[in-house]
Amino acid sequence: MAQTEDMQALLDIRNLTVNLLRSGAPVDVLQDVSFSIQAGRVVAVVGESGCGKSITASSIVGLLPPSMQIASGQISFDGEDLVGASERRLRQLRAKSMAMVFQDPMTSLNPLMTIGRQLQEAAIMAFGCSTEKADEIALSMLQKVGIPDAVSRLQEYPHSLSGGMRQRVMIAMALCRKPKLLIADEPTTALDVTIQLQILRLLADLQAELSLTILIITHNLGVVAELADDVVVMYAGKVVESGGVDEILKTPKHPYTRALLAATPRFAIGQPPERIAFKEIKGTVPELGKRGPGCRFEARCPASEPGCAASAPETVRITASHIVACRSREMLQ
Amino acid sequence: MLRPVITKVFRLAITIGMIAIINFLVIHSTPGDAVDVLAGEAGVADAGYTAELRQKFGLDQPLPVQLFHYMSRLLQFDLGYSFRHNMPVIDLIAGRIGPTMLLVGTALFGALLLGVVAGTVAASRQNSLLDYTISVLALVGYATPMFWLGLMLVVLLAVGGGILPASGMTTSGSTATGLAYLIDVLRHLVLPAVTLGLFYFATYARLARASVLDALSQDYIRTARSKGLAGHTVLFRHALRNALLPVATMFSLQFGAALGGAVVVEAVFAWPGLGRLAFEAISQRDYNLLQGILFMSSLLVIAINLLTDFLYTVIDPRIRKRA
Ligand SMILES: Nc1ncnc2c1ncn2[C@@H]1O[C@H](COP(=O)(O)OP(=O)(O)OP(=O)(O)O)[C@@H](O)[C@H]1O
Ligand SMILES: [Mg+2]
Repeated sequence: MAQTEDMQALLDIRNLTVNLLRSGAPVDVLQDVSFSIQAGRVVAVVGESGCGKSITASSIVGLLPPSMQIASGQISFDGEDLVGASERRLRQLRAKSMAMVFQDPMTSLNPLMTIGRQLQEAAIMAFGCSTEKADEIALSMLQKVGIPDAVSRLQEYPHSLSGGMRQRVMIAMALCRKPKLLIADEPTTALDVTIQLQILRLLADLQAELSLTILIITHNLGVVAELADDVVVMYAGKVVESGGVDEILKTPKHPYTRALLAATPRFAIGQPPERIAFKEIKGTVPELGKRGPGCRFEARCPASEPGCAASAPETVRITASHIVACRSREMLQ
Repeated sequence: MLRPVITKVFRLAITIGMIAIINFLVIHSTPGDAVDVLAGEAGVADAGYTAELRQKFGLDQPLPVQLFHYMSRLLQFDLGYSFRHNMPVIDLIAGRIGPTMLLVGTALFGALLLGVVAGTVAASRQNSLLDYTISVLALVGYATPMFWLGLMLVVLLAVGGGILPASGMTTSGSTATGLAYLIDVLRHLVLPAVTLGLFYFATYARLARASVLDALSQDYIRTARSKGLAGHTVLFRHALRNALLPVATMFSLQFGAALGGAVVVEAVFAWPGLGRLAFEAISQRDYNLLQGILFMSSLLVIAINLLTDFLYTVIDPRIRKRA
């Protein structure tokens, strides 16, 4: 989210629509998704399962499932158009400029290859360097992400590492190519709570040290508060609200954002958890292909008005950075 | 380090012992014995004469005693004597095991290689015309009865066109040596190996396709792609090795079945191997020989399984750790 409008964003997504091609008419998985990321900032994308967060990430790096395609919109990265880019160019960008860390570290590493080999591969792809140089980079990266005994770890296979360690390896692998953009898709969801905290700290430290630009996808608003500068809230394939982290967490405007915040348990020390009210959001995200022309949150919305179901709400700009898509004037006050 | 090896050897010895015992019991549960056959053919039904023969071969002893003798002879690697061929069983087997290994080895390894290639190509071009073609061919190969295929090949390529020989391992009367001999054997090998191998080719192609597709959908493939690796590098370096694990398992499981299939194929193509020897031993009621062949075949299957286990530990570090 542009804090300063004139600065050119590292990543700028405009009206991105992604379709799932299946027998019959294609259905949209993403519709008119727009947001941007300034260099050096951390942007969190939040929303319930199935909202299209991962698909957004896949669109950026050019790794959409074969059944999906970008129907319209622009993605520009460092001034370069990615939607029209060749497969070759996208591969080059993945190797050198955009790195990803995934949700499940238990399955994201090749079980038949040593850690060292997998790191080495990434470094060679990024720099076209010799294997010796790549091993050096791999080792220093492993040490940087806080893996004890890194030299001997290089020889080991993923199965001998814990989930937390594997996620550190994934982060090392992502960072060893000195990417301009790091995309982390729920990097802590599959980990124990204590390990989650360690990985978040690590990401925060690395971000500060290397002034990384990070797009982090998460369900966890705690992660948002901890790490993010800006937040994009997605619902059923659309961006419903976006803004600075304080704007979203302290003065949320969209009923969905509010519901999401209300559904997050907050534990205060010395207080039994049940004292703090938290409400689940009733109902579920509408399925692909069963999304009407109106506001997609309408069926679950406590503030829905006549007209919400008929046509999609317009996007309203509240501040320079805070944008919300809701027609309820009351909400927007 | 030593302990697992000892356990393994111990377990192996027990397995082999069990196989020998089952072998022995199966053969001895069939009505009649070698003496009946000999006496019947000699036209002598004199009870005194048969009793004498039985005593000579130890067939008058109670079953447990015979089993004990059989087992102790096995320990000295003595498989007994074939009265049909007037030769020790071990020598008969030694003369026939080579051609069988050549046939089964060519058929299985050829099927493995071609099947994995076909399956991988099909998987990497999923839902293309090529994929459909390979899948249909594999299905046909899977469903074609082996003896029928053998006969059709003979009719089409040997009898009709005379392109390839359909009988024996060498041209009869040929005295070729060196390269000419090798070519002669290879020409004779084509039809029986194709007949025996087609089914296995189909099996491996189907399995390889499925497991490459499965491997390609794994998370670590997404990781590999996100490194900017090209499609073929992802396929060969990351997916294929993982996909080969189930194929290797299938390969070792099927070796025994392929030895069984060799009996039919060797009979159809007059291939001078163990299978045909077994076939003859059955029709001639040459029990010692049959018992010997069964035992040796079991040892072969066990050896192949051990080899696969070993290969598995080479490919898969997770198993290496456990072993
Ligand atoms: N390979 C695929 N083929 C077809 N549909 C898919 C595929 N991957 C995802 N989808 C669908 O696209 C929609 C968006 O999925 P996406 O993975 O982006 O959700 P998400 O917001 O990342 O959810 P989660 O929090 O569960 O990861 C969902 O409805 C999902 O079912
Ligand atoms: Mg996701």
